[in-house]
Amino acid sequence: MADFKLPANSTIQPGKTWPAPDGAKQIQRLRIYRYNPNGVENPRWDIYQLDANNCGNRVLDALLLIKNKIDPGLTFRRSCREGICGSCAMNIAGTNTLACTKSLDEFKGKEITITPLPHLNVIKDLVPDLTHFYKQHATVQPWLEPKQIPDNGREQIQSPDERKQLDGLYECILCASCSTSCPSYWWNSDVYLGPATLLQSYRWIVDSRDNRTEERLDQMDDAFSLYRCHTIMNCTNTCPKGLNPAKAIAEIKKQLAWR
Amino acid sequence: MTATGHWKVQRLTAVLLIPLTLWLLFSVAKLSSASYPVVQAWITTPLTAIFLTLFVMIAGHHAFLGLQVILEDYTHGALRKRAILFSRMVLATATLLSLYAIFSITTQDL
Repeated sequence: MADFKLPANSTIQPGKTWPAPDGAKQIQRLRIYRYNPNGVENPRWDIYQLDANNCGNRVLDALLLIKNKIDPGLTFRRSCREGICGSCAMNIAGTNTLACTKSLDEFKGKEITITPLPHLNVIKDLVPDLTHFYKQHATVQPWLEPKQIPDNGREQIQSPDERKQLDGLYECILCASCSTSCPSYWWNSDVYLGPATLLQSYRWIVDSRDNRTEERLDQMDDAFSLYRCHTIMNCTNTCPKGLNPAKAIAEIKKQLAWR
Repeated sequence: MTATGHWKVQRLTAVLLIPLTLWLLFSVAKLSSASYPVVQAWITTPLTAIFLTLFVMIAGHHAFLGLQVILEDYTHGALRKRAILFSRMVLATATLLSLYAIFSITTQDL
């Protein structure tokens, strides 16, 4: 059956509360999930307090401040700090998003709860294991299979309208926020591809220069790869890039139904 | 049936069930205080008998497709196949019993 409760060794215990810095005027509290799967202890909530006046205005700035000034042990992924690499995807105040684009001002000084992306194995603290997610992405062969090499040996021509079909798809940065927000993906991620991979697949299906449309559709015509999507729409609600994976999935279903 | 076929038929039966269910609900509401012979006379009308048979078959098939989707979502491993087979047996029995009920009422002496 589906897992509705955490296993006993995953129940989160209260952890350490770090003191606020001396003379702090505007205290921002962050309640952060801490876990080391190689240790013997259960996961715990650590509470950090920092001076909001001394911190940049993104959640990632707060995390970096904690790591640099308070607790170097706190582990998380980050790279570009501008919403294009997808490394710092995590669950912030109940929503999967990118720490580097989420504004601290939104919380108006209220405590912010931060956990890793849901329903993935945790490597440490806020770092989830995305191996399976990347493997699934590879199965849809996310590259262009050209129709034919143009006679002049130069680039494949695409009209502006054909190019427009890729808008809202090519921007996906594979941060996994959508897939890990999807209940269907939680219950069946071993066989269901999930919204991120399906959006990526549709990106190649609609590409006018790609010649593998039929094979790409055939590959998804089973009970699990695509049809576990029940239009729950969490993917679209959570996408930090404002994309619509649910629509891409619906388009794949339409293409399968009408071909 | 392919997965796409399953998906299409599930939607087709859902659309067909909208008018049939509304028709059945209104008819049953109208007959709520009627005596047995009146209801029997209603069911015996050819059009009613045809619509009732259609309703039972389409609703049965829709439930069969829908339950399979739910069981695929929430059961895993060996249990999944067994649960789906069991749901099919239960639904086939219920559908056949309903059809038999319609048949026996329509062929009963008024």
